[in-house]
Order: sequence, then C-alpha cells, then structure tokens
Amino acid sequence: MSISGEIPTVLGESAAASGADVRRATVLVVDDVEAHRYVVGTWLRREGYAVVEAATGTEALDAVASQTVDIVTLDVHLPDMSGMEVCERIKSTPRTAALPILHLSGTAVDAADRNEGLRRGADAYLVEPVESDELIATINALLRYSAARRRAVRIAGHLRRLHTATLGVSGATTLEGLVSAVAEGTSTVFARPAAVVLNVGNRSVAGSARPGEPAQQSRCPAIVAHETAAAVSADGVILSSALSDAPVVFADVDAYTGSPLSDRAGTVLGAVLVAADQPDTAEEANENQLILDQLAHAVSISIGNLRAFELEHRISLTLQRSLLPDRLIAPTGLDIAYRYEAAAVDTEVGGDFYEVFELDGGEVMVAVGDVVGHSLQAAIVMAELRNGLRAYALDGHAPTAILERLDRMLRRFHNTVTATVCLALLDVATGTALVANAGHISPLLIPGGADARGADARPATFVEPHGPLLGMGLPAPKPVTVDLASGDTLLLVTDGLLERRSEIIDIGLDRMVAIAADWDGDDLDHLCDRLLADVGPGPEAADDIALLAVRLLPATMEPEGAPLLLDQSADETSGGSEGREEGPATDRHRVQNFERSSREIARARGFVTGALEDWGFGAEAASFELMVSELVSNALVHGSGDISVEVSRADGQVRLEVADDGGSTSPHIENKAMGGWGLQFVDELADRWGSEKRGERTLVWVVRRMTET
Amino acid sequence: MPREHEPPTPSYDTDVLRATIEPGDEHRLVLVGELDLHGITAFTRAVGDLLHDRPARVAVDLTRVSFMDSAGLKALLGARRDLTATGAEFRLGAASDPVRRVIKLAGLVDVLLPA
Repeated sequence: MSISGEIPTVLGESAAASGADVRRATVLVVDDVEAHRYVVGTWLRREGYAVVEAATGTEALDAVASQTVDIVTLDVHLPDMSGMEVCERIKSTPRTAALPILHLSGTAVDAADRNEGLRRGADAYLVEPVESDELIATINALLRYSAARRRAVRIAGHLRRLHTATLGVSGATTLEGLVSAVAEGTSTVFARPAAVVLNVGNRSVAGSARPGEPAQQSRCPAIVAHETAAAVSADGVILSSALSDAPVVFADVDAYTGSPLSDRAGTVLGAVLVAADQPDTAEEANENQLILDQLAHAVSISIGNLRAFELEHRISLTLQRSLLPDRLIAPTGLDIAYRYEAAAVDTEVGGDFYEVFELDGGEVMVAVGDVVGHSLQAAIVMAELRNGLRAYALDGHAPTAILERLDRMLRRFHNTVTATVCLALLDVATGTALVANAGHISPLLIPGGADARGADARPATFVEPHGPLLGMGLPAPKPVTVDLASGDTLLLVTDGLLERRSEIIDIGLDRMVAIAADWDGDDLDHLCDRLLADVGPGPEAADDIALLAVRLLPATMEPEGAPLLLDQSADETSGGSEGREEGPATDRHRVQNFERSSREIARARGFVTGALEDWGFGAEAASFELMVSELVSNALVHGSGDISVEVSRADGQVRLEVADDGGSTSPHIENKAMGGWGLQFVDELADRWGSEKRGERTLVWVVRRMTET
Repeated sequence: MPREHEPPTPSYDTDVLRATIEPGDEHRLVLVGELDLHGITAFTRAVGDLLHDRPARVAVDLTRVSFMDSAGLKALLGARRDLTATGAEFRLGAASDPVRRVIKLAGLVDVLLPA
C-alpha cells in the first residue's frame, strides 16, 4: 500500500509545532537537596514548565506512576536508592518506558559514572554545576525527540490498523458488508465512533460502529448519502446538527470530521465520518485526514469490485434461468400442473426436469428426469438430456429407443454422470399410455371420476416395473402399457420430494399415496401444492424437486361455443334484425387472412364491420370492431404466423374467431398483453368467449347475441 | 388557426392516423383517423415533440377520431402522464362518440372527461 501525501519525518519538524507541545510539559525534579530542587525548579518555571518535586527515589517512582510527567531530571545520589536504579525502574515499566530521563549530578561526575548512567537507560547526563541555558536547552531537545517518537509510534499504530481495515474493506462482497467493514475499520483505526453512508447502484446503506463493537447498519434514502457527502466536502469539523436526518449520528457525539467516498470515476457516493469531540492538534488532524484519505481510496476500489461482482451474479442468474424447464402448455385433451424447486442455495436451477409436448401424430410425450447431483453442474447435463429427448421423440423413436439413446449420450459426453428418466407416451384419444422408466420413482396412477370416490374406490397404484438408470450402459427398460380412463391422473415426481434425512424413501412414498387418496380430485394445482407442503422436506431440502401431474380430460368436455358452428340447421327467421336484411349477403360465414403488420388491424376491422353491416347487424358493428381490434393486436404482439379472422352467424348470434400460430405463448389472453383493458373490453362486450388450440393454431373466439331492434 | 405566413404546423402521419400540433396559449393536438396499434405511432411522435417544447397547456382534440381501442387508450394515458410530469395542464378537448364509449367502458370518464 503506498502512502500518498507527506507524513512529517520523525525528527525534522518545525520548532513552532514542537514548541507548542514543549511549553505545556511537566518536569519532575528529583533531588534530595532542597536548595537544588529550588534552583532548578525556578529556572524551569521561568521557562513556562510545570514542575513537580520529589526528594527520594520512592517519591519519584510514586510521582511517575500517579501523574502525567513529561520528563524527569534525576539526581544520581538519593537517600533510598541510586538515581540510576530509579532510571532503570522507570524505563523497564511499559507505561513509562519512553519517558525521557536526564541525570543531574554533582558527585558522580567522571566518565565512568556518566557512561554507566547512559548505559542504564538515561537519555542525557549533565554534570553540575550546570548553567540554566544548558539545562533548558537539553530538556527542550529531549522533549522534542520524545514528542516526535510518540507521534511515530502513533502513526505506526494507525497504519497497522489501517492495513487491517483495508483488508476488511477490499474483501467485502456486498454493499452491506462493505459498509460494516468501513465503519468497524474506521472506528478501530481512530479508536473513536465512526459512521459511513454509501449509495451504490440503487441501494443506500448507512452503518455505524463504536471501537471494538460490530457495526450496525440500515437502509436509508439515497438523499442522505448525498447530503452527508456534501456536508463533509466542506473542510473542517461537521457538527452533528448538520446531519440531523442521517441515521449515522451517535447520540453522544457533537462533532465529526470525515471524508467523502467516491468510485474510481470520481462520482461521490457517500461519506465516512469519525467522531471529533476532543480537538486534535494541527498535526494530529493532518495525520487523521491522511488516514481517512487512504481508507476512502480503498473503499473506491472495493466499490468497483462490488459492482463487477453484482454484474456477474446477475449474468449468472440470467443464464441459469435459461436452463430451467420451460413453461408448459396443456395439449388438447389434457390438464397439467407442475412444480419445480432447486435445492441449492446459490443457484436457481438443478438437475431435475419435466416435459410435456405434442408429437406430429398427435400423441403427447410426458417426461420427468433427475440428473444425479444438483446445482449448476447437474443443470447443464439436464438441459442436454432434455434436448436429446425432444430431438429423438420428434424423430419418432419409441420410449425404449429414446432411453437407449439418452444412455449412450450420457456415456459418450458425461461418462461419470448418471440420471433417471421416466417417459410416458400418451394417446389422448384412446387414453393408452406407454410408460418406460429408467430407474426413476414409479409414476402414480390416481383414478378419477366415479371410480375414485366411495367405498369401492380404486386405490392409487404405482406403475411398475422400472429398469436401471441411465449412464451405465445397461439395457433400457421395456415399456408398460397403462390404460387411462377419463379423469385419471398420472403423477410423476423426483425423489427430492420424498427423501428426508432420517427416513427411508418408502415412508415418503406412502405419504404421497395418502395425499393422493385424500385429494378431492378437483384441482391439479391444489394436489401439487399439498404434495409439496405435506410430503416435501421443506426448508431442509437437500435435493431438487420436480412434480408433474397429467390428467386425461373427459371426452365429453367440449370447449364452449363449438356447437354454434355445427348448428347449421337452426333457422334464423327468429331474429328480427335478420328479417330486415335486403342485400345480397345471404352468407353466414366469412374468413380472411391478414399479414403480420399493424396496419392490417384496420383492414381486419373493416372486414368484420362489413360483414356485420351486410348481415343487417349494423348496430353491433362497433362492439365487434373493438373486439376484433383487441384480438388481432394481441395476436400480433404475442403470436406468430399469419392471422386469420372468421366471422359467422347462426341462431341469432354472431361468432368471431381470431387465430394465429400461437407459438410459445399460452393460448389464453394475458391481461398485461392488452394493456390491462383489452381483456376487460372483450369480457364486457362478449356474451361468451374463450380460447383453444386447434392443431398448430391458437385461436380466441367470442360470441355475442344480436339484439333485436 | 395558424396564420398564413407562419411556419406550417408540425404534423405526423401513418396511413391510419394523422396527428397535428397547433401551437398557441393552449397547444392543441388534433388527431384524425383511427387510434389503434398502428395509428398510435403518429400520436406518440407528436407527443414527443410536444414534450420538447414544454407547453404550459395542452388539449387533445379527438372529434375526428373514428375508432379507438385499448392500444389507443394506453397511448392517451401515457401522453397525459408524460405531459403532466413536465408541469403542463392536460385535457381532452372534444371527443367523438367511439372515443367516449371506450373511455366509458374502461371506467375512466372522471379521469379523462371531467364534466
């Protein structure tokens, strides 16, 4: 760590600075002869020193122990012990080891005596008779040296503590940690209460610490950081009254000095404050400022590190989210619910996955998998397995063949990794499911409908058997055929749900069966929530959890509104407005495609209002104009592919359908997509409306009864 | 009404909506056409220019707007928010029936068309 600015050299300081110290010094005059004490005392008092007298060695030692003494003039010849012994004792006591001692002697005067005195610790040895000038000059010199040495020791102490504080500051990985490190470090360095406030990114944190105590911190408004920094930038002492809004003030501190804190670019982000109730000497204030500047410098480096750290963290989270299993769309004829929870504290994604997608022939692939391990490593392999599954399934491979290929992939590219995967290929029309299970928890078949209730209720059963897990080169499991009746639910879970530290997994399995039996068969999401709450391990989860429930919808459940189009036979002579129709528009159904461009919305409106007017429903045109505008705008913003608009009439009602390729968005209209009002408008203007998937198209339909006029 | 020798009033056009700014003590933003997802481009561009001038008062004239949907309504509310944020007084001048109907449907009559 380099020191910028100048630290005054130990000995070479101005006389003026040292004069201020010297003049206030207290001299202890030790001599058994009162006349001597009187003479020396008078000289000293004339020079402005304070004088304390002692006649014996014992008195001298008492005085040094009980009072503040800055220098001692010490006669060698004392009644109770030699002055040299007194000197040794003073110098060997840690508290007074640096006290300058000047021997004065009229008797022990030869070179041998002088050498011995100096050897035993005295700083100077004057032989009587002594001129007052020489005595004063010697005392001044000794005091100057002593003051400088004290300062050097103090500075060294500060620098040592500053070094420790800087280590704490540069090691901080969060804004809160940095604020604590600065507050604690500063209070330790100066041995006074210290406070800091910092605004980084969009957070402001204030902290304060007393020496030796851990820091306290809290969030604060950003304006506090800026105002505190502004108060500190003006030189000098800041009164606590100027910081009235800051949460950093100490109740017992009236004044502070401080330093602004900024980042590498020089933008001021806050300030650090140190209590300054006892006025420092000019040089102490100077030193303190240099130390604060060093701290501020370390903080600005640390802020740069913090920002880099947070950016990395955000990038990492974004990447992880891209590995998470996708949101699933329920294929036609199925109801689905799913849950996912990663176990690791520091990542959001783990090695479990679930999948539901349609194949070209209309069958549905349902899958659950678990890569051994968790956190990011497992997630990466999980993503590869998922993609492999999708590719092989779309190519038309049967479940067993898919599992063989996934096993080969694992062995080839991650040969130390194993995984369990359970596949179920569903024919929605017939309810037949082909289940192939490689080492995974067996799927649970939960009967629905009438069979599920009452004394003769069919119990939930596990689909068995299963084969070995993937990644070991072992033969893939043969598929098992399961017949699903309408309302039956297939439940697939990963073992993270069932395992608890102190139990065997069978207990978890039993719990799962109990919850399934207890479930009222109504809401799949409700089943998932209960499983997580009652079976799941809760906060002590050690493994990732994935849950997937798939229910075969009864074939009689038609989407609302469909009978309208099929009901060609109903005659329209009942509607009054239709009787008034005179033009050539005897058609009942029109359809037109529109390109994906926002200028087409107006054309779509014209198309629909034209049809309504031709059919004599001019009064309803405005309502349909608004509805088609909303639906086509929604398809443009959230869908894909060409947009088709169909309008048809039957039985006194008009039906509007807007379809596009949907893609990955849910077939349901999202509230936010239409700015919050589009959905509301459609809901208010339509008698009934809904959405459905038809093959690859996603469509939204609305029906409104024509009013008779 | 702009006088002849004054510079032409700024005007923005899509093939569905035209937006014209008539400066004055109260700046008037006159919209003609249909205010849907396509048309709002012209509207928001005009509002952007208005914001630049920091007018004290703005009135939006919707008498010749023959259609408005939720996209148009959102743009209208956004303009109101942005202009009042600069300190301007914002009001809707006259509004056509289709516009009134939509404002009523959204429950925003008190907000946009105070009596």
